[in-house]
Amino acid sequence: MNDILLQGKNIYFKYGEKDSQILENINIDLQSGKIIGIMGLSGSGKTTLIQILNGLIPKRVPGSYKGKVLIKGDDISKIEVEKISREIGTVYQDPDTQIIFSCVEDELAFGPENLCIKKEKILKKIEEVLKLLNMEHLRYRNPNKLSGGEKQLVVIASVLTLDVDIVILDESMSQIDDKGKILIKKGIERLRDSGKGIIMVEHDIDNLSIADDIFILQGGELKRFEGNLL
Amino acid sequence: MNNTIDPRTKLFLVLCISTIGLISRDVLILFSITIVGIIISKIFGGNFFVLIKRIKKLLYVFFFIIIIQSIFTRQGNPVIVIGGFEIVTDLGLNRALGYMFRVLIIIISGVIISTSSERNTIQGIVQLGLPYEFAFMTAVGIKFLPLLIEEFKDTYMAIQLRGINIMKLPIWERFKITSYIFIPVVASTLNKAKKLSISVESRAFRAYDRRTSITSLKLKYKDYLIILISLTTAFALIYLKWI
Amino acid sequence: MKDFIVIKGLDFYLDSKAILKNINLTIDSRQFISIRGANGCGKTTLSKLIMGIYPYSKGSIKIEDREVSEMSLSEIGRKIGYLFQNPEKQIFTSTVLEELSFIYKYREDIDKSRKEKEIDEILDTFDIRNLKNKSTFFLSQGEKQRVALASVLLNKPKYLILDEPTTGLDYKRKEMLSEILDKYKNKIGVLLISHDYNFVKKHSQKIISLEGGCIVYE
Repeated sequence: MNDILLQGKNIYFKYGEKDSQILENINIDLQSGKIIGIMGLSGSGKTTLIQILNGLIPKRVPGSYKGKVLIKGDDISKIEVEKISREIGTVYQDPDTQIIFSCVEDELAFGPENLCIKKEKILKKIEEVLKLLNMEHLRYRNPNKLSGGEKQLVVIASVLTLDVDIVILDESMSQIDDKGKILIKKGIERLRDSGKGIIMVEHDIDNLSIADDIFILQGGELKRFEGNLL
Repeated sequence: MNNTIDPRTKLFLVLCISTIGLISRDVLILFSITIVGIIISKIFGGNFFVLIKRIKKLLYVFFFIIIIQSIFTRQGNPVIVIGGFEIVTDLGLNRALGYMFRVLIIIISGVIISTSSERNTIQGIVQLGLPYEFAFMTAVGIKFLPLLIEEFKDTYMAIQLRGINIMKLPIWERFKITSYIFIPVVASTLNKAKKLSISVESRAFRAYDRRTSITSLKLKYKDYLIILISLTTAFALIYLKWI
Repeated sequence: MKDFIVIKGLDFYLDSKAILKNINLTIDSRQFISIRGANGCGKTTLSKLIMGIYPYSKGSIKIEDREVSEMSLSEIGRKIGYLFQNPEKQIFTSTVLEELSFIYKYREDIDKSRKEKEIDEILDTFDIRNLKNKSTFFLSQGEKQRVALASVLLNKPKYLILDEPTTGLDYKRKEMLSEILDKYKNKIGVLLISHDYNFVKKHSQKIISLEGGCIVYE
């Protein structure tokens, strides 16, 4: 039995008191070495769910929130924001708004530098992550000049250098071509094989072909997906 | 050469050039500083003329302001007289040229700073004792500035692609229609800023008061030499009251 | 059907790098044609060259027998409607209704008496009646795209170029876009740029691939 890395229990959320419920009684368990896929239409609450699971709601984004999120058994509401970033890494849709520097190495160093990790440890971590994702040849390249798939891998690598065990990908393949998607999926599979827990949120089921379990977010509820969507 | 010059040296150079540009009233000095700045930016690997080409539409606005400024300065001796009316005076021309050179000096300063990577520029600012957040925001601003310019251009084109010939509209309609560019650009910028802030926060940005760095800058003899020459030149100009 | 867009011997370089090499292509006025290829292969660049957004120095691009380099953007825009990959770039006003009314305000060649009727029809065609008074700042990606496309079609162009219109759309919104394209299929030609093979295959009469800046197969 794999360790349970992340749990969402009885989650309810709406933005304003007078607004309709976005999420209703969401329960989700993420184990190490597993990929969970979550699918849903635009406006179904996928991004809201991610923001609850990675602690942005309610710490940074206000709203009416009920329920619990546990990271390795600890209540996320009692964990400081900087500690959450050592547990959960989130990758968003547009790599161009996540890449800051013009060297891949600098991009990967950004997170651990923010956490006051020593230079030698950071460089070692960068090497490990590049090897894990088979990206060593990109170390000194300008990420802004890479292909879409490579850019997204750089973003994934930049959250991994924070030593996270949980990676959440928010529609990370929606702007990527087929070749890039293959590259990203291979990278994600390597993460799974190394024991990370991964949640992939997509609105295209083809992008979730590597997921161990797939759920649909519909009407505010999370239901297991059994077969053909249409 | 640009990779071997410390970004702090470039910042110091820019400080000297822009200070002289700011306090000097002498058009010849401003012209000389502009030329020296262009040469320096070229040596550092920057391309001033490529940038000028990219922002040439914006420069038309500046030239328009320069012409207006020279026409509305009444003091001084007349230089252009039409039908008995003094259109341009020597003082007006002097001020207009001064304004133009100052704008060019600002652009050149940006080009010089951009010849260092943003990572090194941030490190340079931090090692000068300024807060990391300030350095980071400055570097991010510099990175997104060309993207902002592209957005302006794309939106201006998109308006024309609706079949609207902006040049054939009356002048007040032209101003109004140009103002429509700001809505999509502001919306897009705010959107990008929001996404960027979420991304950096989830990578522990500002988690603690201090942070470590894999980069460390050391000034070399070249840097000290450039700093010395810049400082000496600036002081000499001030002392000799050539400014 | 007649040749609407004719491209001959087109080369395009950016920062000394060849983006497009010896492109030859003829597009009929009512044809639905798609261009596929990996990110960065030159699909969007080709569409921007056709629209006169990028200048070209080698080769020829003609729209209805007129060289694109001799036409203004507004002239090209009256013939071809262009949907940017990011529809935010072509939404200029603060409400949806203002956006749809935009061209009636600034174009002297459009019959302003038809404004109410045409806007009314397009609100239904694109299922955006409920968004009429909504601020454009708060539209979702799919809604922005529909509003941008509706605004472009109010121009009554003879041809449409859509740059990656399915990016960020879920299957329901893709279906909606499909339905809209089906409505216009026999009235207007479309050049679709997309790496979404299923969408391309569903709609296109002809599919072209771009690889290494060249047309690899038709």
